[in-house]
Amino acid sequence: MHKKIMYICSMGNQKLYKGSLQTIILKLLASHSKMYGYEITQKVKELTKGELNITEGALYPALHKLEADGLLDVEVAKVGNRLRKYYKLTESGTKETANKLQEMQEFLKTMQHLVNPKFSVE
Amino acid sequence: MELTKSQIQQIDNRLKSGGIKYWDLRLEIIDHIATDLEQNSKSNDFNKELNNSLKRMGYLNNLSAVNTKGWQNVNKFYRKRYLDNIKTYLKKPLILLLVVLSIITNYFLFEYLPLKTFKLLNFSLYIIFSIPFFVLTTKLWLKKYGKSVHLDYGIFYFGFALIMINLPIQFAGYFEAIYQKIFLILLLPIFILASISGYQLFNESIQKVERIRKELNL
Repeated sequence: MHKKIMYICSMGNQKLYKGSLQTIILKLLASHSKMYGYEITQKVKELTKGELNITEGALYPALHKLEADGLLDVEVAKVGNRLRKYYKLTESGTKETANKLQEMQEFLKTMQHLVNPKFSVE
Repeated sequence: MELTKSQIQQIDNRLKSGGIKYWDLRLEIIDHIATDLEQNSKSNDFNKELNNSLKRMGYLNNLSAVNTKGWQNVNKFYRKRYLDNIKTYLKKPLILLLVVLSIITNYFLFEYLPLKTFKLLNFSLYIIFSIPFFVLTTKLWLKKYGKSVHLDYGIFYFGFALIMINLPIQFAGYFEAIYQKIFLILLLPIFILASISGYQLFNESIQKVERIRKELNL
């Protein structure tokens, strides 16, 4: 039951996306000064044209882990009748984003060589 | 359409009764559900829409797991900060000098005082350094800030050195005299450093909670 809420739900490739959640969040925050949870889920849905739908059960633990690792900072603001937590990259978060994106590029390149040796993403 | 205060309260009550007992864990989920309801509600039946929203989030009947995951993450955050603080202190020359001086002083006290007097002196220092824990946590308890995961871990790590101090003292008896001596000399400086780190986290957790309460106009 507990594991069930941890998955990223997509149309079919959830297992492939699962390991990339932190990189996705960091990349989004690198291109926005600050974002809140719901906004992140909607932005991912929009950018992937609905292909990737991050569940809250996967998003918030990932955000909290990145915060615990010192990669994200939190800001609280009142919106309507409730409070909203905004996340933004810390200095080490910005550096880690660059590393993660580099790793992702290398991973994609390797996968490309493996699954389709004739073509390359380069 | 923006949700009313009473509807926000209804969401809060639902999360609380479902098992999310810490109000500072509920805050973020309330905002998520409220935003979802504001953008996706199709009817005026609030309870039905709330259930639909929880279902969309995968939280329906799963709220106690959300609570567990939440406090585990907060604990991880505080544990890391607790150890990082101690490492940071030891990188500061003045603090490092004070630690070395306290170890040397404790060594000479051990060498030149009768063991009973040495233990009594060290025990008194443990008591003195533990007084702020009891005073400050009682003061905090009187403020009635509710069940906050940040305060729980702030208090836990503030008292962590005090809780753990008994362990090496109990186990020291199983080792040779030379190791017992090292234990007794080093324990007090380590205890003080850990207590200061815990105090810093305790203060930060209070500041965090007070900032949120200020935003909520409580």
